[in-house]
Amino acid sequence: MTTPIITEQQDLTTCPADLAANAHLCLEHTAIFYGPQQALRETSLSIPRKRIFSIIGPSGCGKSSLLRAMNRLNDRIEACTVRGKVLLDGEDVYAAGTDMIHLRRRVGMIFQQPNPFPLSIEHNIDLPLREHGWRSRSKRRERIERVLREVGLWDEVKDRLRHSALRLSGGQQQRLCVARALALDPEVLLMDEPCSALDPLSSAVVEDLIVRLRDRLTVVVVTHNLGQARRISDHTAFFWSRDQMGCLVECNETERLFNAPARDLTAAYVNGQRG
Amino acid sequence: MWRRIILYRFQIDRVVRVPLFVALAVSAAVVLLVVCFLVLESADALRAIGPWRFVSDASWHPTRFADTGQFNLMPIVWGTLWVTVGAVLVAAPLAFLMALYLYFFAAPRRARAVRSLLGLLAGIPSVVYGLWGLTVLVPWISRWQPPGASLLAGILILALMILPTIALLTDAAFQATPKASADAAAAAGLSRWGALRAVVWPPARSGVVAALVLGTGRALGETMAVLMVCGNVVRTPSSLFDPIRTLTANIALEMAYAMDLHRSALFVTGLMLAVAVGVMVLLASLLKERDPYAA
Repeated sequence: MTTPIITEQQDLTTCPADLAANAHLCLEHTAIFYGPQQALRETSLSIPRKRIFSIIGPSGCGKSSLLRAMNRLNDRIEACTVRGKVLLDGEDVYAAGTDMIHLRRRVGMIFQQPNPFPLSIEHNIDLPLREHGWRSRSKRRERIERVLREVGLWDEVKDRLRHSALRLSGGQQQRLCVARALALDPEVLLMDEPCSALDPLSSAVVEDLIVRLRDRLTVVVVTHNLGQARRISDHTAFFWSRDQMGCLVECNETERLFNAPARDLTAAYVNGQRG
Repeated sequence: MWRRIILYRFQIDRVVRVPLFVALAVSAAVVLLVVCFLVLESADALRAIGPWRFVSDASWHPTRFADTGQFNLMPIVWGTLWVTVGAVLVAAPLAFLMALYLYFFAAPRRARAVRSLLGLLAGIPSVVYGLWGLTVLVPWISRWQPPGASLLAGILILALMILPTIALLTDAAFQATPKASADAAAAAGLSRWGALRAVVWPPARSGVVAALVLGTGRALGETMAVLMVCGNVVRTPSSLFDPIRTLTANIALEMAYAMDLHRSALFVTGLMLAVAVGVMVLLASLLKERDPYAA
């Protein structure tokens, strides 16, 4: 079997020009390091507005690191440095003086393991709202009900809003986390394998939820589940790992990437022959 | 082969149980024995003098005989209580602020340095604190409000002594915040205050209570330092500048020459100390118990 080799740096960023035009998030020569070790080769990528963008690839190819660069959650890791630019609506989130609280209101995040706060269901959403300046209690309650309805959780929890969120099932917890993120009206929602810790039924529910977010906000979802990427996303970026360093192999409309991949490596991966 | 490994593991589990149980039994037995010892030794005094006189006599002038002595321990109890409460009130907020600083603000390297400093502070023998208190703190207070050796001196010295204990344990409780929750708080754009309320405090609460209990216990039981700076006059304090005597100091000061009922009365003092610790642990368990959002 031949090993596809990627040679030129230029070839790695196969981002179609039509994507760049409507870009919401733009990576410009973004590279990520953990200490001296480079985790992600210089990558440029455009993520279109109000579409679902999926990032696929094997473990260790820098997908999650890249996602965490978009809301600067990487800052929390001492040794992690990001080079290049991450533009949100044309403004570099890594620019000096970026208001982190504001950035994270605009760019929400969902994690692989559902991580509700160890508080009541209601407080899980109420507290971030208060933190972000929602003074009026009645408006907060309205918003809580609205987002819980949006994620289809309202009818399940309306009688026990004061119960601990940790007593919910995994799928319910994940939907609560989505509701918590949506409550702040984010423009971008980053999702790091949002379904992989859930059972198939809950996974399907969360997946439907993601699809309903299309046209409302920009969703970037990292997933190991190729079927899921294919079902829900408009565009897909495929990353691969070489010499323990992640690199972008191909980025295209999801249908084209899966049906007519430009590279052998992509074809091998999406057909299950590699990875 | 797998069978053998599984069997072997099973046996290990059983073998390990024995020393673990023995360790548990020994520590439980020691506690029981100490209490028994205190009760037995104080029985003479409690029988001959009666419990009531320990709280109602005119003063504390113990003698070998029940009819010639005065056995009121209450001024000492009050002195102990005030100095302990005062020390905790001074130390706990400071310790809490230090732990907050270490968790939210300090760069990792600086946090490590502060932690080892606190560890050092916790390791200084109490007699050294006492020495400093006696030669620096007491004269300083005396210039302001004589005589200097006072409740206030005791509070300040004890606060200094329990500060590192409470701070380090509170810090440890904060550090135990699950990383996933901390990430959630950051990703939701919470301020530090919000993160404290949402993800740090709920799981840390019982650890913080434990830190307070240990700090209070240390303050209650401290003998040498308070003996050196508090003046040891048996009188219910009416101000911060009055000298006091604590239960521990009472035992340490008089045990050397006490005989018969006097000796037994000092064991009553010890018993009271044990009761105080018991009450405190009970209060702490009440504080700990209700965690409304436990899974």
